[in-house]
Amino acid sequence: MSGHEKDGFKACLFSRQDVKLINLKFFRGSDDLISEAALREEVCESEDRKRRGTLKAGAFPKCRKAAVDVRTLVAEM
Amino acid sequence: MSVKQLIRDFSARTSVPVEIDDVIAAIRAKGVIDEIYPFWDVNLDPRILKGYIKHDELIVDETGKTKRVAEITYAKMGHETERLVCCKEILHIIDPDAYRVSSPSQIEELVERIVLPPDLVDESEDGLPVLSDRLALWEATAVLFPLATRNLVLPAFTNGRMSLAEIADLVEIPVRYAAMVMSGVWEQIHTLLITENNA
Repeated sequence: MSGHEKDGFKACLFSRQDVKLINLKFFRGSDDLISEAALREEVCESEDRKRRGTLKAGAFPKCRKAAVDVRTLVAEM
Repeated sequence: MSVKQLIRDFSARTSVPVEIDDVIAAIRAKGVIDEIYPFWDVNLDPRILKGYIKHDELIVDETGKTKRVAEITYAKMGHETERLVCCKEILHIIDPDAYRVSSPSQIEELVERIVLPPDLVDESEDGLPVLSDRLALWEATAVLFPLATRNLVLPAFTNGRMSLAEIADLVEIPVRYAAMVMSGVWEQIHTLLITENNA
């Protein structure tokens, strides 16, 4: 792990003086082997896409189906 | 509010699937006023990182007034996995201070620990912030698959009238997580998730 790469990660999270980080958490990917550098790079690139405006805020995923009451579902089985 | 309280609130729910927006509404109802922005990043590699939350405090004017902004970024994956990732990251908005990761050294520790392959993880070596990152996955599962719903479908599952795939489809979460909820150990796990004195 290069110091340069770590510095880049730190810069991507702490570069703005008007912003204070409160919390950062990850949902690990599915590969068994993940390098620290690869994880940092994914975060930095995503943050960069936001800064450049190529990644914009959208919506959370909506359910595909209307909600059902499981009490009714089970009673009808 | 605590995540434990949130899980308790959802545990009686029998109407499913649970919308992610319902989870946000629930934390808003408890007083969270932070701005929350989802980013569906199709260029994020889910083999490396399925999602993350970056929760910031921003200075908004010259008087030093601040606001809190939570950005939740998630990769393009299956619908069910995207829901679980989003729910897990949303729960971190209400992390207690001791669970938060905000300094460079804390972030380094989290990165070092979170990349470890699952079979090399020894939770006893995790600090509270890292442990909370792992725990939140199960907390999100408990929110999206409420205990009351699980208990209602359990007889049909046990006697073969409902398959695991059908149950996962009903609650719109990945099958492997539905399998954990339908297992015999889930009630104990759920109890741990909602008990206030566990770390």
